[in-house]
Amino acid sequence: MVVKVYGPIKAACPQRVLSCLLEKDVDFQVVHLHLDAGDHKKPDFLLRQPFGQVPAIEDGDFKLFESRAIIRYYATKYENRGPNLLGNSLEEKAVVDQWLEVEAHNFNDLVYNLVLQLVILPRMGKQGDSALALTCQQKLDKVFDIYEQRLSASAYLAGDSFTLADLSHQPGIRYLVEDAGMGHLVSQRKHVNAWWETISNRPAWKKLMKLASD
Amino acid sequence: MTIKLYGITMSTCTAKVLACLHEHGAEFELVPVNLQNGEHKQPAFLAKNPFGQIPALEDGHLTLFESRAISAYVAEKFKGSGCDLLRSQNPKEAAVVKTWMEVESQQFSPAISPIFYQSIIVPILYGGTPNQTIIDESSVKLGKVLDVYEKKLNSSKYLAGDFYSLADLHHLTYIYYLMKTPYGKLINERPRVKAWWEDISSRPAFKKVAAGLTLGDKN
Repeated sequence: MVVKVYGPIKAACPQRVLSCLLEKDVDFQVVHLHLDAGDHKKPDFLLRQPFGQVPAIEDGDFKLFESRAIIRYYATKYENRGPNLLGNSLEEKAVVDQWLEVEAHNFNDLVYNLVLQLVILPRMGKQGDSALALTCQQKLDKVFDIYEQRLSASAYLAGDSFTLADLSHQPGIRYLVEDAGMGHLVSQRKHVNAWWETISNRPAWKKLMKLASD
Repeated sequence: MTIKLYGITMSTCTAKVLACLHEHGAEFELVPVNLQNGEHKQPAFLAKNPFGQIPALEDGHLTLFESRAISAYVAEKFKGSGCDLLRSQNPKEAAVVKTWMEVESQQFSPAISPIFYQSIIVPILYGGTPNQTIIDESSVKLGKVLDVYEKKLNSSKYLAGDFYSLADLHHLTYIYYLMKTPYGKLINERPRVKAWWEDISSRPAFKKVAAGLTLGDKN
């Protein structure tokens, strides 16, 4: 039975889930939603995700939403298949969780707002707030300084293996580098750059990028 | 070796972890961090949390930051003590707990924290005037989130099911402070949310923590 993933394949939060499913070789079907037509705010979707956001998943009769909860579920369910995305010991798992929280609280909002102002609003024919974009960029600079320091001590955020903590950053960094013209935030930092090169060249991520461009 | 938690009792994020530690009867030492003196931005603390935020936890060789990661670690480590806040033996229940933990993190907190900041932090710590526009906009957002909770709590006693979990616990400290402001009405106006709040805030573990949530109290 395939996992149904509701949401556009090009959107960041569905990509977080799809990257995880591809890493774990879990069959899925993307059920596309037209966000500009408000599909995600319609009553039948709100039954799946009461906050009207993508993604939501349906796995047989089991339904979930919130991308970071979904990836934790599948990383646990298929712990012994494919790469170990969680860590082994209680302590290692806590450190993975910690950096997932960092992505959610110290990284995501800045990237979201930056991309909204520089990419999404202009695409919709609206004026982005360049002052807000600059503030986000300056704060993101400081966050990447911390990542640089961290990644000088270990190859990945939570240690020496690729985990959910790294995976969770893939969609946001792709937006920064490829759509928002903010690639220098990554390329100017030796260890962050090497880390991004590595995680963006993972077969699962490359397969997702191909699917998203088809 | 005892767990050390670095933070202060009146901080919402520190208190979140304190509530979890108390639920499990875990032994720990609270090490105060002097925020007024900027201790959290000094090298010794930045070595524990490079983002310079409280709380941070030390347990043997492990150092952790991010309150939700810390509380999840505590819940997992002490799950045998009669308290099962993560439901980790049942993967689907555990996933639903994680979902509502993410809801607290991604929907609830961004809506409530500006109300907390403007109505408590700004006047009390900075002697400033609350920005009513921000409060009003955030109140609308929080109202919509709580409408979802009201509906959810129609079908289960707690957010993730008929069991108290970390998803409920993570809401305690912000709501406690909200109830000290006029915006507590957002909770009181919704009968199931109100009943849920009265239930979770009456837990003995939280009452120990609430005693320390003293911001806004008149001396």
